[in-house]
Amino acid sequence: MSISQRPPTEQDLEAAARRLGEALRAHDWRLATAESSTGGLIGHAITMVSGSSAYYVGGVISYSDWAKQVQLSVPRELMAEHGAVSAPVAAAMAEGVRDRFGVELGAAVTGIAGPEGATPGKAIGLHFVAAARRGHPPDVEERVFNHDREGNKFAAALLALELALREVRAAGGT
Amino acid sequence: VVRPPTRPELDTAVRRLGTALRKRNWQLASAESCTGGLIGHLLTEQVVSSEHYLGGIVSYSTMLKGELLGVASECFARGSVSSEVAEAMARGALERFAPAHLALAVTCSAGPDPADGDEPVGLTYAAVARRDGRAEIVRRVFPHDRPANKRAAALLCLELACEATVAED
Repeated sequence: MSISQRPPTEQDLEAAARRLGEALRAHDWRLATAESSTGGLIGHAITMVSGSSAYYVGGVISYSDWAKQVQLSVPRELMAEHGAVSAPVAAAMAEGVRDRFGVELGAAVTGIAGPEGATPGKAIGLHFVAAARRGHPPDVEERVFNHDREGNKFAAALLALELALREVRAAGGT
Repeated sequence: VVRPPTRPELDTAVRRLGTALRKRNWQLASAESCTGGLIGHLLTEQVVSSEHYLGGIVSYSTMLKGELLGVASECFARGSVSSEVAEAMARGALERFAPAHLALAVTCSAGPDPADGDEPVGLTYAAVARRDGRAEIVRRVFPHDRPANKRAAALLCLELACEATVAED
């Protein structure tokens, strides 16, 4: 867990989206996103880059538990056991969106953006970010951000873009 | 429209829509193409949004509009930026998000390159579909750059959704 000083800017997100886009292009991979707490911000950042339709197919905004279960096939028992904001649910979201959209890479975020929503053992700012490439177990990172609601969303979106980039690079090659 | 919407204007539209939805005890779903998730991001800036926003589909690729939202292939006769596609996206989102009372959808050519070749950059269709079967579609051509065209499309969609929520049965 780490606490960053200032939230990323829109320019930071766009730059990360550009780097990710270049890596996806180089591998001829396509990406899909599953966003809970970020609400669509990752998709927005990716589609700020002109030509992103070459590698970004879209995603699911799974803002409600209903959407996580029905649109992303996250098992109800997994949510009941670990809670919607948990590493297993983030991993299941990334795999769920990857498989539903039939792409090489899925990226997901679930978190508590605040200023409300803390639960026992889960503080405001807690986020789980996951990236899942086909044929490999998902990579999940846990962070606690300490910004305001929008800052936490930006920080989580940036982490997801960076984790997805690492996942593409881990595949080797280019 | 000469200038693109500002962030405060977008936030005001989000607040108005949220208030209208909660007043009717309605839940909203979204289907975004060119805006790529911007509308969902704006909606979820409000803490109370979990009471009235279920989530949505970002169907950035044409193929996914068909597979994920059930947009029939005939709808693409005039390309992926058309009133037929916008309406089918809204109806498709409403059908797939069963608890929702209202779905909004937007498809546009944000630029700088044309989406399918022959649509003018800035061409935007926003649509809403209600559980009672009613749907509204509006067409605009925005003259801005890519980020501003996305913001203008988002505002158009949010305002249309608000009108559809407050409209009498």
